[in-house]
This record gives sequence, C-alpha cells and structure tokens, in this order.
Amino acid sequence: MTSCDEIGPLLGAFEDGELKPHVMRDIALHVASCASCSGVSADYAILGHKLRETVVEPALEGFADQVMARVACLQPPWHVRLARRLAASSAQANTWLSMGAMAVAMAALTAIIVTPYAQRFAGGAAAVQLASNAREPVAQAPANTSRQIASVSAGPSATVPVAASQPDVQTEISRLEVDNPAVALWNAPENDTTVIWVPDQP
Amino acid sequence: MSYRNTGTLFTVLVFLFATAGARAWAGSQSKLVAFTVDSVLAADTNKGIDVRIASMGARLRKVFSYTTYRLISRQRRRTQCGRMTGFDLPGGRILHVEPRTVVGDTIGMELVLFQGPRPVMTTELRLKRHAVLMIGGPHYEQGMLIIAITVDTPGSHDVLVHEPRIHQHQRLHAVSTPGQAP
Ligand SMILES: [Zn+2]
Repeated sequence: MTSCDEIGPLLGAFEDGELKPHVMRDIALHVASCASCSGVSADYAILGHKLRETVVEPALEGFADQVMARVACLQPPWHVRLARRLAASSAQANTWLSMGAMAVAMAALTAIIVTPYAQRFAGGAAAVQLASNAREPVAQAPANTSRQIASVSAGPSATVPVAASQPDVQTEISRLEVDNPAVALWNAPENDTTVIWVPDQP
Repeated sequence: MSYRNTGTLFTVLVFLFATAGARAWAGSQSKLVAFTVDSVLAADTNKGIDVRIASMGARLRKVFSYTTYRLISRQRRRTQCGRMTGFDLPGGRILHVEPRTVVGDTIGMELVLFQGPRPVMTTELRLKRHAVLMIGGPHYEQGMLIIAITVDTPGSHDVLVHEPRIHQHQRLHAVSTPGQAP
C-alpha cells in the first residue's frame, strides 16, 4: 500500500487512530514523505479539532455534591444498617489481608526485577559495554565519558533494559528497542541533555 | 431506602466516575504538544558552531567533542496526545513522534526512527519541557548526524498549525557552498 489513491480514503480513519497498527505505520510512513497526503491529513486534524471545540459538555459542577447530600439525608432501616456494618467489618478484615498479601507480592516482584539491573548498572562488565569499547567511533562522541550513564550491548532487534532516571535527570527512558548491538546512552543533567547514540550498522 | 434505590445510586455513582474519567482522558487527549527537531551535522572540520544553533552550542560542546556543528534542517510540528507526527531527516531517515501523556512539565512520548522503511530505533520516554534529547550516531556526509529533539506544550487555546512540508535540508544544501564556514 504505497500510492496516494490507496492511502487517501484511509486518511480520516488514520487521523482518528482507528486503523490497525501495521496500517497506521504504513500510512504514517507514506504521509511523512508525501506533501499531498500530509496536507489532507492535516486538514482532517484541523477539522477534528474544530468539531471537538464545538461540542458542548453538560455542566456537572456540583452534581455529585448534590447527590451525596441527598444520600446523606436518607436513613436506611435498622436491619439494613446492621447488615452493612457486619459486612463492612468482615470486608475490612479481607481488605487488610489482601493488601498485606499484595504488599508481599510487590516486594518480591520488585526484588526480582530490580536486582539484576542494579547489578548491571553497578558495573557488571559482562552485560554493560562501555562506550569507548563500542565498534563505531562512539568514544569520539562524548567529551566527558563520566557523564555517560549506560551503554548497552543488545542483540538484533533487542529491547534494551534502560534506567535513565536519576533524581536530577530531565529524561526518563522506559523502553529502547534497537537493531544495533552498539547502542549507547548517556546523560548530562547539568545541560538537561540526554543522548541516545545509535551508530550505523557495521 | 430500598435495594432498588441503592442500585440506582450505585449506577449514578458509576456514571459520575465514568464521566469524570472520560473528561480527564479527553482533556489529556486534546493537549497540544510542539516538537522542534534540529538535524545537525557534527564533524571534525574546524568550522565551529553554526550561528543558527548558537543557543545549543554550549550543550553540544559539553556533550560531544567535534569541532564543527552545522544545522542541516530545523522542523517544528504541533500535534496532540495520541497523534503521531513525522519528520523528514537527512539521509532518507524519518522520525515519528507520538506524544502520549502530559503531566506537569513532563511529556511522555514514543519515538520511532526509520532508515528508509526500516525502523532502527523505537523508544518510549518522558522528556521535560525544554530538555533536549539527542539521537546521534548515523554517518552523514563527512561527519555524524545528531538529531536534537525539544518539546513544549503551548497554550491549549492554540489551534493546530499545518506547516508546509518544505524539504528544508535540501534547500539549505542548495544555498550553502562546500567551503562556506557556518
Ligand atoms: Zn500520498
């Protein structure tokens, strides 16, 4: 699917994000390099924006408060109150139990997830490849390699585990997929700058 | 109060929560996000920093150690959360960016870098307003290509701007002679 004739009828749905991901990607690729389809696509976007502006949303300010005020005035019969109180106390016990179990599970999961990464970033030489060892002239790129926070060796089309988040860092990378094994990543927080270095494939 | 009334109340509350959720979602969806993508040629040809990227010069010098930084193209686009927009980059590369969330001054987004039709890098990240993400590494002309991405959230009263797709890098190429200092 590459011609404007094929793409044109789909541009409206494309702008609304209603197509399957691979079709979205095909069209996005075409639109990025076709001035005509790009123009049509932008027109759809403007149209959608204008339409959304004209929609009048019902005023719901104070509605919830009014409902809750009326609810507060209603007094249920004594047996309903008693039943609720009993149910609430048993539910509370259940809630505490489930919360406790969930906390234990989360702690275990966190320990499992964090430990290998912590080891990697603490200097696991086998997993982490320094930028200066990368095949392409990555060593030339960073003026100060102490700023570098991670340089990761990854297999073809691998997902690189990334933890580029430090307290003073302006960028947090949660996912990085590259088809190049020599990708490097570093951060210069004092310049609010993060670098992803993806050399050409050898 | 009867059980039927309780049921009605529950339905109303669920409706209220759903409405509030939908409004919050719609609010985040309609947030405008403005991207600026500078394609910079970095090389060791001792020509200094292009005046058009002087403001970025200090950043580039601190992070890299090249002697020449020349702006090849600058593109600005606005889009909304959930809407992908694309940038033509030098050397047949294409960058797709899709803002996903705007929380305070931090914008969550997905970036996909294509070399021709082939995606070579996909990343999800959160970038603060006015922070710079640089994607570098591909060879270009006599040096390296550095793609500097900054993001901003203009006022929501702004309307979408349809910028003409000028192949600026091609135009700049046409006017700059090979020996010209930046
Ligand atoms: Zn077209």
